[in-house]
Amino acid sequence: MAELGMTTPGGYLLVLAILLPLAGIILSFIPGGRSAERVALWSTPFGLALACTIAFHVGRAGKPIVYAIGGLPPPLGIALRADGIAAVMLIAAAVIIAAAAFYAQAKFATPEGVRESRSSLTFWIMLQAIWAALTIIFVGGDLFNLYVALELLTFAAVPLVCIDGRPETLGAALRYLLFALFGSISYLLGVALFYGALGTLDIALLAQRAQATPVVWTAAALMTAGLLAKTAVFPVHLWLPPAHANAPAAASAVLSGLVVKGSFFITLRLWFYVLPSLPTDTIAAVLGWLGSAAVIAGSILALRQARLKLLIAYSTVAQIGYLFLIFPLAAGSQAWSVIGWSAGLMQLLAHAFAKAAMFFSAGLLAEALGHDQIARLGGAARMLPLTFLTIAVGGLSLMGLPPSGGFNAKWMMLQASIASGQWLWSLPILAGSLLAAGYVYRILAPALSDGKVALELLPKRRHEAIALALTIVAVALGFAPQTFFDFLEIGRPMPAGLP
Amino acid sequence: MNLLSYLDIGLALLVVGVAIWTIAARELFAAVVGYVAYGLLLAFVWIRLYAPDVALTEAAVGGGVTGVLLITAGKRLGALKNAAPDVQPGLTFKLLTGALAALVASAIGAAILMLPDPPPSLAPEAAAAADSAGAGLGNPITAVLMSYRSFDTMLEKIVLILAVIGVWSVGTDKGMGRHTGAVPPTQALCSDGLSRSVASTHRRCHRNSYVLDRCQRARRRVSGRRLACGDVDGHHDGAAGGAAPHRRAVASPGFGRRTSSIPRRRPRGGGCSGRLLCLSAEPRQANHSVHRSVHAAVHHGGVADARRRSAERETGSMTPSVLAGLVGAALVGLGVYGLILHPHPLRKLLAFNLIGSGVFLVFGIVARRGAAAGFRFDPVPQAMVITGIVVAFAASALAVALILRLATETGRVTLDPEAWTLPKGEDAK
Repeated sequence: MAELGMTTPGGYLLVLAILLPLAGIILSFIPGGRSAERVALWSTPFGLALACTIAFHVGRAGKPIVYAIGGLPPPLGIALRADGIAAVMLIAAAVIIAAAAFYAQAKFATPEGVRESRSSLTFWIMLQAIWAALTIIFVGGDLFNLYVALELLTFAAVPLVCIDGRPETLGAALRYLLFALFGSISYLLGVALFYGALGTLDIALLAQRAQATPVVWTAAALMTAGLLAKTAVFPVHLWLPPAHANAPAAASAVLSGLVVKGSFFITLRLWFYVLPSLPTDTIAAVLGWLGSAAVIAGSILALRQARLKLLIAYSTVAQIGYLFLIFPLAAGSQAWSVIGWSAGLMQLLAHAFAKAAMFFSAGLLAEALGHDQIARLGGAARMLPLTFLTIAVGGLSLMGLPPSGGFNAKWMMLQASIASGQWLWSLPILAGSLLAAGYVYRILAPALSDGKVALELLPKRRHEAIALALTIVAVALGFAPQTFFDFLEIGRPMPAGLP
Repeated sequence: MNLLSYLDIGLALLVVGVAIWTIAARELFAAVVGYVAYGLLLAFVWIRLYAPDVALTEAAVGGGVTGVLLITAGKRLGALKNAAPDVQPGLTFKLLTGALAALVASAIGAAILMLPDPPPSLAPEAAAAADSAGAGLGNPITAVLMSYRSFDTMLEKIVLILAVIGVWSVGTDKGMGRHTGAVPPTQALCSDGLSRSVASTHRRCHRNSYVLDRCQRARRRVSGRRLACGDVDGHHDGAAGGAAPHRRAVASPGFGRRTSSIPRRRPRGGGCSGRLLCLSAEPRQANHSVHRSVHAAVHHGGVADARRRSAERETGSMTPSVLAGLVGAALVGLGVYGLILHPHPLRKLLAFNLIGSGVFLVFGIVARRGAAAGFRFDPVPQAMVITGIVVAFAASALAVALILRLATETGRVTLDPEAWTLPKGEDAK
């Protein structure tokens, strides 16, 4: 396995994908605040093209593409690797970042004659920083490097939460920062113990050396605890709803759709890529239970919210819960675990697109009506048909009704839980869908009823179209062919060495 | 057990004692002062782990600048009325948190005691790499930071840039561009003063590493010659004892010359642009004395090195590195306790910094255990610690900026969500 750290054809693309947003950050504030917006908008198509090219290379090679930075291979150097899931996530991130950038253009633009503001420069820089951090998280091959990327993600996400400086956003940002800092320091402690026990931090090398020793277990437990705090899984979800609900809509979409997925992605890397050879039944069950609790609690809390954006934020808590069912449902190397794996990643993608679209719509709604109180939505659907169509279609995916990516994910999860004999997991899946139907109904029922609302301003068609396009992607994921799921398997280590 | 081991144990107890004070102190100000003292003590622990680079960074950034930041923030908050939340946690909650913290600390302590023997290390590879023509950097840590983990180092810079922008963004638009009229002091501190301080700290770190690099390059030259005599991690103790002192005597004039060429601290009087910058001269002075004692350790430590190292082996579990590891575990436990229990965000931030330094100590003992091939430590984890300390400082700066702005806006400092939301009906948008 000496070729693990060697640069493969196309490996340089990974460096380009990281450098593009980083160069954007530097470029954004060298020529001054006005050009930041143009830099961010112009870099998104290139980023998307790069992500697609990387996916093409991975698909053609049938194995991960690797780049050893500076020609220095691990263990001393750092390697970047793009496998199936990394390539898919790169594309998803590029699409959602691009959508957020074009959506936010109206709010954070500084045309000639308008005074520059801190918030707009901050927004464009932090948006690109989130993109850079996520790219590194998806292709990073070194656990310490992933730590720095996680911190980068935090430092980019927190200022976005409090960008308009209202007291409640400042408080939410502070709470988010403290949770995130605790999460990353706990992760870092795990990294230290991993290095002490195994002498490397490269994911592929760790996978070869990992054994079920107490030190490895402690390290993995600490890292998982930290990542759970950052992913806002149920008992440590407290920071998420205020942070996501109070940020501007474009930022909320990125935070809910992508940023929490970053730390979840590293959790996947840890258990399925670093420690595939360990007997992880107990841990998988614990994570599954936490996820189930999140599904139920998040959905119930979503049902009780008075504000639309808070409802959507609590729905994120619930939908993140589903993601953690991947640990019991994709463990081992049986036939059903492949279905469980596909299901988990489908949920990841479908939620990212559907949730981003819903936050965009909620933002448009709040701007049009001047508030986002659910009780005062009566008759709004007639005034804003396209916005409500987006919310409804996105809601379908959250509920898991066909045809949608959400349906695909939840259906495959049910299949995996029954095929593996762990039918208990099907209960939270079904209950979560019912509750999701409840909270989506809570939004749509008053909006579709008779009533009259006064619009403060009419949302731009372009913005509605961006939101709708994202939900169409979420629906299209429901028609994903088998080759897509085969692609997701590229580079996934199979636990052949199970006793 | 010789004198040194007693000193080590004393130092460990002192560090943990001051850390307990930092968590337990009633007054915010007392806790912050305790934290500054703690940062300086920690520098000595790092010297005992043969990590002068980290000791300098910890004394300057971990204890010094972060301390100044927290003291300034504490003073500002003290001026505000009704700043401190008056809710005190109940006894049951305290006991539960204490149990959790003890559990975490003992799990980490146990993991440290169970680290594999012989320890895995990248020191031989790093040694070969630092000697190779390609790297061209005498200091192994600099070599790791600048070439092998250059990607991390680059990202660390981006993190700092983001922290500066983040701190700046928390300010209000009134301070944007040219100053038009008087800016309230809190606001000035929130935005531009703090951003400047983040940036200047970064510059100072660079200067430190430059000075260290020059001195260590000289030291490497000395230890490289000793390496030629066969003093490789205590395998050939006899040869080292016989030949090394002579070689060192030959090499030390050059060493002395090098030292004298280190740029002296220029007196700074009126050149300071901000209050924070002025205060920061103090840690630098501390650096110098730390620096000198590092030199002393290098010179005198070398003679007794072989003997001491075998003594370490004999005393078994209570080597300085194991002791430091247990201190690290205790610090993490204390930090977890404080983080959960203290309602005041600034106290939470202090507790977070305690956890951080505990985690860095764990890295430190991992590095110390990895000593091999003429290195007293594995440079890879040490390089990571330096990155980590800088990132943790950036995090503290951002948090302080948020806390100050929150205090300015609401007149209160609390994480209680009830306090942030406006009265019902007004939170429409």
